[in-house]
Amino acid sequence: MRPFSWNLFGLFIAYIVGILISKSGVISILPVIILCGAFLLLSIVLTNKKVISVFLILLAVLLGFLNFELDKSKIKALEELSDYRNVELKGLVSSIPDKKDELLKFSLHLTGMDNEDLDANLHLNAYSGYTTSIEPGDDLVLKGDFRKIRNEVIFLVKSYEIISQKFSFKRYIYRIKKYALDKVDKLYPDEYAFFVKATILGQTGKSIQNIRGKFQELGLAHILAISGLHVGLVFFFFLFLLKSLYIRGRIRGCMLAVIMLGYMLITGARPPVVRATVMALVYIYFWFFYTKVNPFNVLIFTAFLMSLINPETIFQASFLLSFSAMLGIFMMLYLFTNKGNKLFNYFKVALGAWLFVAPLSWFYFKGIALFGLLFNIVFLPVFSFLIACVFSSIVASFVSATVAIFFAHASYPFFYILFKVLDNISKIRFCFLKLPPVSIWVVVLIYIVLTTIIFIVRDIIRKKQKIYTDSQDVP
Amino acid sequence: MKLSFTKEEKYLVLFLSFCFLGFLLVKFTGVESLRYSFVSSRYKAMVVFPLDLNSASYAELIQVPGIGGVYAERIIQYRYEKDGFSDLKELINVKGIGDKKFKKLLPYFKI
Repeated sequence: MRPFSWNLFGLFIAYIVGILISKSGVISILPVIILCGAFLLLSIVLTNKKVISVFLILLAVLLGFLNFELDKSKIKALEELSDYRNVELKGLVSSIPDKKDELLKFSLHLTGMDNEDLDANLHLNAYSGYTTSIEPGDDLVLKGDFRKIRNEVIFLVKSYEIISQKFSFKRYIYRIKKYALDKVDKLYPDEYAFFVKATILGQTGKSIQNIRGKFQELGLAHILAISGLHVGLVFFFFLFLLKSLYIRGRIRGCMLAVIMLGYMLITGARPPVVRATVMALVYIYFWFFYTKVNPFNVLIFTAFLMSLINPETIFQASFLLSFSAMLGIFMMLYLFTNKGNKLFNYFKVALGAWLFVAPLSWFYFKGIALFGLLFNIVFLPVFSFLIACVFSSIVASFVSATVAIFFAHASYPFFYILFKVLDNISKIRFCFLKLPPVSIWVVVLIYIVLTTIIFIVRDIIRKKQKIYTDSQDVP
Repeated sequence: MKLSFTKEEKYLVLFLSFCFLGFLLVKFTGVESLRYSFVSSRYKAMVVFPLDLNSASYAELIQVPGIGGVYAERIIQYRYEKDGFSDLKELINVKGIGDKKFKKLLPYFKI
């Protein structure tokens, strides 16, 4: 395995520190700017490696600070609009519309308000009654109210009119999504369609909200919302499909990259999906050059990239849960190597994810899914099979209705068993251990202790293995 | 002659075998007997009829006999677009609800 990049890790931590300085608003950034300037001069004069490293770290702090300040200024500009009611807006639909709480949610790039053009580059989320006629790239005139919900300024659309339709490749991806959603309605009964739509196409509704709590208590919430698990399964599904079609080499890599990007956009580009897609793309990129990568470096690079695009994302629960789960999985897989034992590897993956998600689950959901590890080990293979089945039926529906029906029908008994078992299990008490609220600093401390224990155990195991191999060498 | 499979082919055969097994089960038992609603079984005890048409949630609406997820969504959408129902008769304006269905649904709702 390639070595862990301490430079990348250092830069990322420095960038996060910059964001935290900006968020706290207590500490001044002026000393950092002065130090940054001083070290720039020193690094030009001395051309010393250590001086350049310090300069780069200070630059990363500054970058984090400025990026978050820019984000804050946009949020402030939107907050000034939050009191406006019955206004007319002009805007461009810039995201793939998504169904949320039985409404249509889409990102709107504001271009004008009450017949006046706006120069500021403002994006906000708009909600309208559910309709399939609004598509990405549509130039709209909308009437409605601004509202502030959970610290986010949104626009509630009362009426809208499509002025023009501009070219956007997202429009075609959205049409594929609409077609797939329509096919899911035809292929699956209502009881399963909502689950398929949420877990494959990222369209959640009230049904999902009603069962989310129960899935959380069982430690299976990651099955309901599209997460890295789904992206991983989809990635392997298409990899397998392309391999079976004898598409090889770089063409396969390119096709996979396009499919993964398309899938990311279809599902609404939520943090876990973006994380998994970027990681998949990085792997594909290095695969092109036939070189191996350190998974921890890929994880840090992905987090860095995502926080560069949207610094606010590092405070989102989904981002933290997704990255902590991946960190746990990688630690278990790569720190405790056992060649060839696939079942043990599968256990390690489940254990790593469960261990590293538990502290954050305590912080966000005030409790821990006690049997989450066991349920994940038991249900994930069934769920993986279901994903493959459902995906086969959706992909096949573009080609042959009979094949699509075959795969859809094949999944019914597995859905039935999965739902019935989960429904009965969820009635058991003590699945979810409720705990008192905990501060974020305690959570950080738990992570430090957890990581230290893992490294200590790893060293003990290595020492024992070394003693064993040494004793084998003695004639 | 000895058959040899690659790793991918083995997985494909295994996957298709499970699919075929599932398909056979559906053919023997029928689609209807393999429908299981996770949502409705959980919320059955909480629903009291008649439901208020303007405030009933999705989970409550799908408890009404003859209303599934699609109709529940359409009712909620209609409610949003028209700022609620002013009369029960407006239910007939919801896409897919005809005279016959309307008469069946009437006892389950109030305004």
